[in-house]
Amino acid sequence: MSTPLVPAETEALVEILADQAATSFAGPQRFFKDLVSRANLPRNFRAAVAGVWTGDTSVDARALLSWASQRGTNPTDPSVTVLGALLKGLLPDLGLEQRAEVSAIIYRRQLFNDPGLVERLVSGMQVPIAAARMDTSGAAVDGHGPDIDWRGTEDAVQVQGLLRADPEWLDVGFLSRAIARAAGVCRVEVGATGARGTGFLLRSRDLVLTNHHVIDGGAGGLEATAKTVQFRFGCMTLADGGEERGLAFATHVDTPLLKSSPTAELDYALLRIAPAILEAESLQPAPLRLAEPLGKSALHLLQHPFGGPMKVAFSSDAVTDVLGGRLVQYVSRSAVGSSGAPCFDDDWQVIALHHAERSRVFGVIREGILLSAILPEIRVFLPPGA
Amino acid sequence: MSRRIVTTQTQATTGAAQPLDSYFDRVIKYIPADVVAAWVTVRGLVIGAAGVPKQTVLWIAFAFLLAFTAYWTYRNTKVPDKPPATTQIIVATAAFAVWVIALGNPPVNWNALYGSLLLIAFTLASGVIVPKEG
Repeated sequence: MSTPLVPAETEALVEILADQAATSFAGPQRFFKDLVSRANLPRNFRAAVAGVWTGDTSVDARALLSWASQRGTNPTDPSVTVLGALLKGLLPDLGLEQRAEVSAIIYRRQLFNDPGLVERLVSGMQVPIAAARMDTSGAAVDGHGPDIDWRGTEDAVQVQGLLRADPEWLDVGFLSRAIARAAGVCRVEVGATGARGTGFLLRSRDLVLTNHHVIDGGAGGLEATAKTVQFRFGCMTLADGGEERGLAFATHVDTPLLKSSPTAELDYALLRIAPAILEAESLQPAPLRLAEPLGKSALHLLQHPFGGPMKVAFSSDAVTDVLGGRLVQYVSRSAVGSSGAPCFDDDWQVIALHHAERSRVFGVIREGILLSAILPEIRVFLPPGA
Repeated sequence: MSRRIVTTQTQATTGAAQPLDSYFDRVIKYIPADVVAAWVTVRGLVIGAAGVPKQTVLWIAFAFLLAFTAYWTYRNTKVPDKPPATTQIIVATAAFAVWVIALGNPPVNWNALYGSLLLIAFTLASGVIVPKEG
């Protein structure tokens, strides 16, 4: 059921029709006569407007719109109203902007009765976009959205505009890959010292890589301290703000510590988890990448800052330097408890083991040990092809 | 708490972990406030004393406190398993000299304005220095 044109729409159509008539090679009167004849109207309708054209384009356009608006559905072609039939015939002669505007009016006033016809109009003319260029009263507000009734403080909004960047678009596929990788990241809880850090599963699924300094400092030495370590997977924030307990595993009874390098060197510790972890098939390791990252490439951290629930720090343009094929320095966000976190590239492959932060003149940079430096030392413990 | 400027920190949640020192933290840690306080006291005593060669005594006190600043900073920044905080020792010792100049005559016969400007410039610039030994 069509609805009447509002004054702003009438004025917009009058302007378009008058413009077309004024620039028609055949002249204004011929233009209107031709428009009516192309509309597939009944003979008596055509006769009613024959010979009424004055030559004044605005007057004739307004008269035609007024007459057609009163006629309802076209008896010859019920798929359109009479006004819709006239505008349908007009569309091919219009430029893109005018065509979009007329299409929006057809769509909004339901001048086409056939849903298929409406659908073709909508898809072909991007009608919702064009329709949005008019407010609810039909007033032309080209290039603007609806009038938002803002109730907040104007000053605060303007200050936010100055100081805050627009929210970032994050690709959901990218996020889902991050979530998948989180399954292989654990919190390392050292019973002997109370220290907490982060670690991640390696390909054999019962090995965790973390920092040497995370398990260092126990009274009985590294091996004895390693026996008191617990790995907690899936430790995340719950909806009520609490912390999910996750799945906890102890270290292997006989060989908890397979290999390590002092904090001043490669600062890693390779720990073996109790065999029970092999039954938890949801815990999957992330793929490793041995190539050195390029400068300004992205680097993302899955970590347990402050020993709390797992968090992710996304950082594009993160990598500032690669030092001696051993260290990578980057701008990101971490805290105590983040030691041992896997550093991912944009493909969510682990490239480094996060371990420290360093002051710069203004600000702080983070540092990780490249996997390409660590892996030759621990490859013997990994399955072939890992 | 150690006065040593922390510029590198591993990130496990152990009791030893300290937050990194920012620019403002470094500015404060470079100033040997206790030695400067000692200098102000000594200077006041000497100026108020009668029958002593004030310039000579103050220069001797200055030399002693300058050396003491280096030793005191070394002692207060010593941390097991880390090298001496050489950068901090040098900057703190220089900072003491700048404070003495800024506090003015005697013993340093300098325009007080220049001394004050030097102190402001040195203090602000010192925070930019990030010790490698951190």
